Amino acid sequence: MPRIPIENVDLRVKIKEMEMRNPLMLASGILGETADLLIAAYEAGAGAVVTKSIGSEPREGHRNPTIFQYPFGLLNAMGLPNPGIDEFEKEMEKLKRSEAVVIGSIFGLNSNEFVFLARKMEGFGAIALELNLSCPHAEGVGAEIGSDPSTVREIVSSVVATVHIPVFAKLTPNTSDIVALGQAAQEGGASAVVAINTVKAMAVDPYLGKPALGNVFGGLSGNAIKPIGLRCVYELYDSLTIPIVGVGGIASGIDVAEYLMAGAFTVQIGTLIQTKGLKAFSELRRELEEFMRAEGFKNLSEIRGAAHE
Amino acid sequence: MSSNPAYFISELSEKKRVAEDCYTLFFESEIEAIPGQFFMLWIPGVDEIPMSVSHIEKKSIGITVKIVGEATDTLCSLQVGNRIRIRGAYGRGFDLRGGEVILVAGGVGSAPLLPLASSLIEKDCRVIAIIGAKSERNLVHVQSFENIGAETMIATDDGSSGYHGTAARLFSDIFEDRKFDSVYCCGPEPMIVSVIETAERKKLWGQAAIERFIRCGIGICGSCAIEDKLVCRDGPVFNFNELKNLIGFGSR
Repeated sequence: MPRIPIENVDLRVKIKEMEMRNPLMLASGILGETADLLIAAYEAGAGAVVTKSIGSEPREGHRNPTIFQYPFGLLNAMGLPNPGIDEFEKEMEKLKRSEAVVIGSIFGLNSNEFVFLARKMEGFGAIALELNLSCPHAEGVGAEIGSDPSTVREIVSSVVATVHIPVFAKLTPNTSDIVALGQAAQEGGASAVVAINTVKAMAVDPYLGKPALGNVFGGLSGNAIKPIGLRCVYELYDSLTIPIVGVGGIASGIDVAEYLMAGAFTVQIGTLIQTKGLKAFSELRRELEEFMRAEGFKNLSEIRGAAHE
Repeated sequence: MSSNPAYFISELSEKKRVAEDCYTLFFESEIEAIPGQFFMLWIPGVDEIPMSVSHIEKKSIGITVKIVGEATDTLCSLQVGNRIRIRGAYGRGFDLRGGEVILVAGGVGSAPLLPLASSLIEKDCRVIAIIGAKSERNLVHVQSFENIGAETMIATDDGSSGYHGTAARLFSDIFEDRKFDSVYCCGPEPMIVSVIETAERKKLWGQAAIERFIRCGIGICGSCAIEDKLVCRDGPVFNFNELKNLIGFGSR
């Protein structure tokens, strides 16, 4: 700095054989239960879309209230509602006929279940897999198994040994050492880690004297967790060699730039869809391009990790 | 009263039985809404459910609740003075079109059409309301529609009151000798489908308020999706031409 403004920036990015036209991915859990909405997100400008986390059996999720709105973020305890892997095949069929770059998210109780689901998702045409090792509000799955590095290593390596597509491990920030989880995923053969899932949290309604979510505990997303996400990405970048997908509170193209500078390879967008709708993708893209032009970054590799130099 | 701008903690100020297993509840609240929009109501310890607005007043809002399960049962058991938490109003409401307007309601589907009728009459529209139900004891808000100056017609499946047949059937019959500028409807999906068919035949513009299982209410979870439409955000009011192209609509 100061930098020389430039005309054209290149936002294309590639993780293994997965090519994306830009680094903005739709995060898992947001509108990801039906093919039509995932296609709409892709058509609105996402570089890739991640499905809702799918399990072996249909699951209703937690009872409402499943969300609580703070001015600074969103608390949710959806409880992994999903139609089950067999029912989800018809959504994947529809997605396969579209242009969308689709990453299949799966969750399970143990490596056997992850392997079973991974095979199915690969068969359905997912271009990559995201392993949900981090949902903070479901019993026996997600963060309950994903907080232990040896379990993460075992699940990732079992899935990697089974499928031929890239495998991403989505990590929980609800741990004293996210780097240990990231290293375990890397040792297990993950193509990338995704950080972070929501931060375990709760809300109390003072006028009704009760926890405000049906499940009491949920996961916080949105603006409030951006500094936590940035810290996790920065830490992971220092010790991993595989790409990091940064998630948490991105609300502008500048936020995307911050994540990239902290070391993110690509990013995911979730809670912003609440306020902006799907036009969030085109807005973020435009803002990121403007920032990179003005600051003289020609492509993502020039900006990536800049905060470490 | 609330510590959080997204929520309104409101007290039940009045409760009226309006039909069998059906109540209108009024809450003192500054919350704003337009006809067709809905609120998410938290019944502490039980559930949070979507309810359309049925009465819009300066310092209070009303909802009309049919008891269909634990949450609606608990809601209707609330006593005056009890507190509840409300968020909203959410979603797309009705677009007001002028002229001679016909409303077609089935069961508690008359609830969102009542404030619409008020707004239309304030705009000097002539409003005809067909109110249908299984039986006379299930008719909702007939007197209220009459009180605000709508011409009211009743249809019951069992013939216990008014026309013997469905509201959709009466709607189709009424074209024998009348013309309308627009139609609005709310009720069971087969009824809406039938009203859309009639309206299409008569080249009549219309909108319907539809119902789906809504979780977040704010357009992110996707639980209420029909194809690429979110009922909580793109609806719950849709134009007839949008609904007739949705493959998942009309199946329930």
